Amino acid sequence: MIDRAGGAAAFAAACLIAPAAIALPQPDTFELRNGMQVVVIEDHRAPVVTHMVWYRVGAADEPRGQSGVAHYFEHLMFKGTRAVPSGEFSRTVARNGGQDNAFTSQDYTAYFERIAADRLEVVMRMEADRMRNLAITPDLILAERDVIVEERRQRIDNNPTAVLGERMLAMLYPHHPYGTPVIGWLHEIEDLSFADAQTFYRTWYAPNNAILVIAGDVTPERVRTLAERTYGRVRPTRDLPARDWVRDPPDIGPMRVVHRDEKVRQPSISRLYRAISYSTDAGRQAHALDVAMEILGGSETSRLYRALVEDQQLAVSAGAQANTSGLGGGSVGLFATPAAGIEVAALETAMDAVVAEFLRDGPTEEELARAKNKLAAAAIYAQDSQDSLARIFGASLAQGESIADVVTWQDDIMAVTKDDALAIARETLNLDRSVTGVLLPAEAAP
Amino acid sequence: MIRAALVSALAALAAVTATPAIAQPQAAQVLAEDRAVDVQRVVSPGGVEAWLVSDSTVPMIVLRANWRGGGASDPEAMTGLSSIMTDMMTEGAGSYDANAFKQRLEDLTMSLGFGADDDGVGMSLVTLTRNRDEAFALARLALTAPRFDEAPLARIRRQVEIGLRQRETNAGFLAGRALDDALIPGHPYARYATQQSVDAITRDAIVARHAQAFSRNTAVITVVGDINAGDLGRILDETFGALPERAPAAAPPLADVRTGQGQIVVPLPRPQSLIAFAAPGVQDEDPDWIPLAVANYIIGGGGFSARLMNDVREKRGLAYGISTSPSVAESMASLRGSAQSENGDVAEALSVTRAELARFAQAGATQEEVSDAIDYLTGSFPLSLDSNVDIAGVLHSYHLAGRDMDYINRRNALIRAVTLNDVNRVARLYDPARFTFVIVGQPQGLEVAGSP
Repeated sequence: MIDRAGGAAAFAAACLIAPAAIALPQPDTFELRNGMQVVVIEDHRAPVVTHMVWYRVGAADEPRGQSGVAHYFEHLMFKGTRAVPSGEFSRTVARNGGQDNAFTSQDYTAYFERIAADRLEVVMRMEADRMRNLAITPDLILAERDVIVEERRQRIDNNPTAVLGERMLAMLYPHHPYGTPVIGWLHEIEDLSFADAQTFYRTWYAPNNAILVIAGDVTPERVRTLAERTYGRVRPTRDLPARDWVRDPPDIGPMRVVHRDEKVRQPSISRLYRAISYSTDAGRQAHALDVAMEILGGSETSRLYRALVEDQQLAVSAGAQANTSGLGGGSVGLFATPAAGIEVAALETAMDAVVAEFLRDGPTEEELARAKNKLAAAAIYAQDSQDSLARIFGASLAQGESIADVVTWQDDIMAVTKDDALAIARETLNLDRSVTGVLLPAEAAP
Repeated sequence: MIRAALVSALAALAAVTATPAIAQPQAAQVLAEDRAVDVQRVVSPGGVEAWLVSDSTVPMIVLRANWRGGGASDPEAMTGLSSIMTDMMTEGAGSYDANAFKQRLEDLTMSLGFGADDDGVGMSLVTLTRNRDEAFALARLALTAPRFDEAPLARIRRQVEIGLRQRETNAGFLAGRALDDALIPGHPYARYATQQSVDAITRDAIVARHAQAFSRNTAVITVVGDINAGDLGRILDETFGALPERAPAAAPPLADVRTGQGQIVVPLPRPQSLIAFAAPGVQDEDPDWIPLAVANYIIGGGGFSARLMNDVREKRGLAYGISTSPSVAESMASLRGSAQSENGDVAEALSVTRAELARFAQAGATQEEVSDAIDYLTGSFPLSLDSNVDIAGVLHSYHLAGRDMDYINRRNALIRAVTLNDVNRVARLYDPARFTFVIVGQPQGLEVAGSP
């Protein structure tokens, strides 16, 4: 997920905490006549609102050869309409004491404003205006393309770990669009044209392809009135394309990539496996996978950390992550950084042994209970932030889940059994659907 | 100087920095008059004081605590001592070894962290109401009976060793160190842990440092969430009551921040350079602190509304972002800024930045810009106070900076009182000749003046 103006870490973290979502107060929801879905989450502690519009379009929907256009277009959404000239959107929000930004992922593009509750209509008017009335001109958008190139350098090209990650994803998804980076390949970004951006906009940006999420000091009645007056007047599109992405062959064989960079001072190893997600699984498989990966590597009490960092002292960090939120499927990852003097190969062997033991015996009942409690408690903590709540509901809906899925998430996590967790772990942690990446320093001159 | 993010491998352990962005107006704005924050002073039966905002909407409690005396007072040969000591406080306490302690934290679904920065040591606790008493009991154990066992200490040493190695190619770290070396050479704030200084840190030194870091009477404590004053009083005694009484720690010597040390290039192989710049600033007790917040918003703090963002990014596409901010530590005040530009664009980005800073320093702002800045800084204040965690962060920063309990409710009025004259007076601080510029990367076509 990438952001228009930096500060992505906190947002990414908010989304990672609860990939699908969380047991929370039931939000109100309704649909406008033009097909726009509306979700309202009341929180009256502070006189502020978080207003978000989520479009069901992301980098995975880009035409081949135009990688990066979804994110580029997200930037162009700030370049003005006839009513609100370039730069005026953010300036107006700021003058009203608000903050605004946007972000793009493979699955969705979202725009948000946080602002005093009594200024809500100001941002709803402007956000509805730019949904269909953007008036960008070719001269305005070239400098913005340079900005995107700088953003790519800052996020990816400067950072050997990010470069390796990009290569691993390209191998994990040799055909599916998830193998293409959200920000785009540099040579394709540099060729993106005005027409590419215009076509993308006309195809995907419409109320019947959008979800409005408002959290904070508002009532559903007030939101309905304002939404009908603003978004309700935007015409829907008739020919919204289906989002049927090409799929990968099931097995790619164990794949391997080594990336060397002279900035690397300590090697590291990571591995990605293709996995199910909340939108592609059957029953509670994604819940079970989240629980299993938490036990395997989610904390300093996990199997991987205890074995590799504490007991065998081969690593200074080790763990696992589950990305179970993708509309087109998920992935899980393992990672470890060796201690001084330890070879990557020795660490990899030890890591594989931890995984093999976990897949043979499964978690203990104690581990299972601890992991479930920890995940479920996130549901209560998430209620502290209206911004997190808006993101959880917005992302979940944009990624194919229902409000009910979100609200019962905590109960579904608690219902995961040892057998559920073990079965999905065994299915997922299969080397035939994996890519192993090794980061190494530059080779010494001969 | 050992910073919280010193060692990436340790970041997860040191989840709390000791000094939470001391009262930076940009991060911590003011409260809307129509909904004041109700802050109470709670004094426990045993005499422990805290500020409390009681709100039971969400069944959770947030506590932040700080004690003065941090890394700047570590013996120079053991730079990093305070950080390693605080990291070790969640690596076993009482009858729990490191792993049992972390399992107990997870079973209570709480978070507890200790950390150190130059000026002090800090503690952060978040718990659900339903586990309140057990959570605070565990915190007391970490605070008063940490084990400092050899096994986790050896592990942290292994992690620090790798972290020290990795930071040598981290552009942000290299820029910060180069600025410190140029602006405050020899000052304790400019000390960085090394393999040698970490090797010199013994368990005995850690035990001794812990024994004098915490006290009952000098703790600065802020609590927000689902607890009332009576219950908090009892919990304060149970958690902090066993700590000793001691005299407040001395502040580090005042840092005399140098102006204009030219342009310093730190080579690092990467396609884009990090540009970092800094100059002497204004302390947060200075009357110019509030005008500075307004001025900074106009030149480089206000996201897309700021002049630098407009000139460097929006008009020319020279960087993804550029920003400036006032920064204060207990004994140092500075203005800081940064941007990242493709190596071939660095010279142009620098010259545009210098020209904008010069124009601002000489001609100042317009009344419209000042009004816009005030509208934003006051209007956006409630956005930083919409959760227990955020309220605790903002209020605690004021508490630690020595503000009064009602400051959070007066802050908007102080910002509204800022005039164009005030802004133009402090705008002179942005004179580019006062700044030192560090470029980390492989910049092209730069004339390097004043590089040491």
